[in-house]
Amino acid sequence: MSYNLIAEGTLDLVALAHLSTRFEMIEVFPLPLTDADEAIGIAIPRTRANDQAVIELERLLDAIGDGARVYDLHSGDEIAGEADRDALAERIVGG
Amino acid sequence: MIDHALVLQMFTPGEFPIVFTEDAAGAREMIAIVSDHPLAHARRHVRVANPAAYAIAFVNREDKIVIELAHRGDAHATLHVFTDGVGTLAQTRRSMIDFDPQALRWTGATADVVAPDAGVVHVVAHRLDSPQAVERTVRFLRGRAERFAAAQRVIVDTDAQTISPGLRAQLALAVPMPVEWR
Repeated sequence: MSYNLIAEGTLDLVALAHLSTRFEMIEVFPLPLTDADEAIGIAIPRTRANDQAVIELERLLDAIGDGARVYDLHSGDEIAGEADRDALAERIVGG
Repeated sequence: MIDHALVLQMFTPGEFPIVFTEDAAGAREMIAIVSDHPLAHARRHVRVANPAAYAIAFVNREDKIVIELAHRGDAHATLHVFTDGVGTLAQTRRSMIDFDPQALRWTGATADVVAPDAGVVHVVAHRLDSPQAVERTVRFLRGRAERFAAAQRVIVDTDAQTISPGLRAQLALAVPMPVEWR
């Protein structure tokens, strides 16, 4: 099982795909497009849920920017600020 | 067809990008994109319109005019930076015509379980207590399914959540694989 997130909104999929190829721990993939938005899925396999994964996730969230909403699919909560990011990192590494 | 000269002639540098599109019959449209994320919305406008050709004119961070241009069949869109009216090819990027994000290069994907008799098994323990939450999981699983060629199914670990029959049906009907609830 992996730890899963989704980002929906205004995304530069070309730039995010390019960035994702540098990642070794987290998995990033495109989700079906709508006329209203773009989306990507983010999966962190349990076997790779480590500090490096958190660093990669931080880089990805920075690149996503404020044009999209990011949701933790396990809790259902939106990851909206630094406190949410910190709590998410704890959940990922803590299992 | 749309070209640099035409776009430059019609583009007045401003705060927001201008999108030029041309359909197969030669009909042209020009709109300004007013948005917090104008360039991304300009590209989305082109993606949805899927024209025969397009150009997006905008001013970059160095205060220079940039024109992104592509015609149907082009391998890539080209981005030209203009200085004193002279354009230089600065970079290429994926064209927004017939744009398919699955065709971009992404990370690999690891199956949760690979079962000899059932192919790839996805295991999710997502919050599924609202139609919006189910919709997000459906979108996630549909994208995830695209990453694997084998037969697939999904196991939903409900983790003692009470998930209504309606929400279960919403998920089961929308994902392209059998669903097992645990």
